[in-house]
Amino acid sequence: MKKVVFTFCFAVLQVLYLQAQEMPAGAPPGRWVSFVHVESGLLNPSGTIRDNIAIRQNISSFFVNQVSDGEINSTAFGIYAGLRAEYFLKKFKTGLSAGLRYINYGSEISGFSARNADFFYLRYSMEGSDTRFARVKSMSETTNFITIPLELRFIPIQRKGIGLFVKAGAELSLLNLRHSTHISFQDPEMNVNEDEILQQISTPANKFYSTLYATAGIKFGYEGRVNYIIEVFLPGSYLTKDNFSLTEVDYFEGFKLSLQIPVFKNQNE
Amino acid sequence: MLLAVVLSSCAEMEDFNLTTSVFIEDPYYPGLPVYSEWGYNTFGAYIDRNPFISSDSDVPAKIIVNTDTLHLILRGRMEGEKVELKFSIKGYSPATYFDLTVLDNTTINLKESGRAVTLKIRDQTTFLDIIDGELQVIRVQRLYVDEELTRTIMSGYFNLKTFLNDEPIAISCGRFDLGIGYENFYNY
Repeated sequence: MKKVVFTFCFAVLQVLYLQAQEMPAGAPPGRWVSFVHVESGLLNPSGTIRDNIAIRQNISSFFVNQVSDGEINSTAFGIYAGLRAEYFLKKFKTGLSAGLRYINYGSEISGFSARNADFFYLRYSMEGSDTRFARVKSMSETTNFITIPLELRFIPIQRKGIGLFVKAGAELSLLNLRHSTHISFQDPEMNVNEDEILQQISTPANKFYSTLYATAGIKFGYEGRVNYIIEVFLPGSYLTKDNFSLTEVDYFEGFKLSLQIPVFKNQNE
Repeated sequence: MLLAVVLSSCAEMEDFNLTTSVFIEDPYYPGLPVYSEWGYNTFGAYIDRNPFISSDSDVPAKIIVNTDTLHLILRGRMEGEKVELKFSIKGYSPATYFDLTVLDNTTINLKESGRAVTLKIRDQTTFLDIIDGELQVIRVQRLYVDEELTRTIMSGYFNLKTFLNDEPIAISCGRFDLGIGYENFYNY
């Protein structure tokens, strides 16, 4: 699926880029212009390990002094690529865009219980007097979505090929392509118990996905040409809950690189 | 033969990481470990105002079963000095550390007959005359690691009032979270 999306994006980029090159530089002024944005970037969700994932020595939730060699880490990241069409009103220096975006999220819990160990203890069962731990090297989760982003951009400053802008955006999932969670056990013989353990410890991830965010960025390039854009996400929030089954995510940050390609044929309308 | 002995020894110590201490300080009771049920191999109590806690260097707990009496020995430090608190409880004689589950959810009144508590500071041992006190075993868990029965985790609280050097003292806010296994359980 990733290959199809990237091939599609690449093909569209090539066509639009060639079209832009054929247009005269400094296109005729109009009330509005339209662009196609080809974008890609990284997201960094921030949060903590879910309370129902019981890991020995996981004490990050409150301030304490600890004497232990153990360390548990939780990381999450997102990578995305997409296409957006934007209608930009010159008078108001404002543009509205919508499109399609492919997002791949991954999260991982890893760590060790002591310096001489490459695993941590996961408690997955407490029944009567019997408690069960599994020695786990890592736990990982991947989620893939196709989303519809909707963005409002305002460019208050535009000087000699450099523009500064701010943007407000929201996105809503159109398709949930695949979600999977995996445990890497220290003892491979435990693999047969993976599904049962996952059932006991993980929270079902939400099938829908939605975010609200703001960005600030800078674009390089003259009017009528391809512009290059770098933007940074201010802390954004997830509108849907339980987006991850291993981690409780509070907010996300990230950055985006994109190409803004003018589509001139609309200008003369 | 030698190989068999070595393999046997390794099996007994397979989860050495579970025998070491993980000390997580209680934010509400400074100097003491938090109450936990993870088998962190820690304990702590205030002897009057001084924290008496388990240390990294000493085995924090031993359980010794003699005929019909169970002895729980907590060994640690108070102001840098070696201190040992021993609870002797008549009427409990688990054959193995997995049988410690008989103590699950049990409160033992230390003032009753058949109970004894001794406190050893440095080399001086005192048999404590208990004014009031109890040992509360909240939870005893048989621990399976990767589906193999490995050891037992015993967690709970203790408090007592007694006399030390003819002066009443309190051992308060006591809590323990102990892993009991091959290396610290004796029945002889």
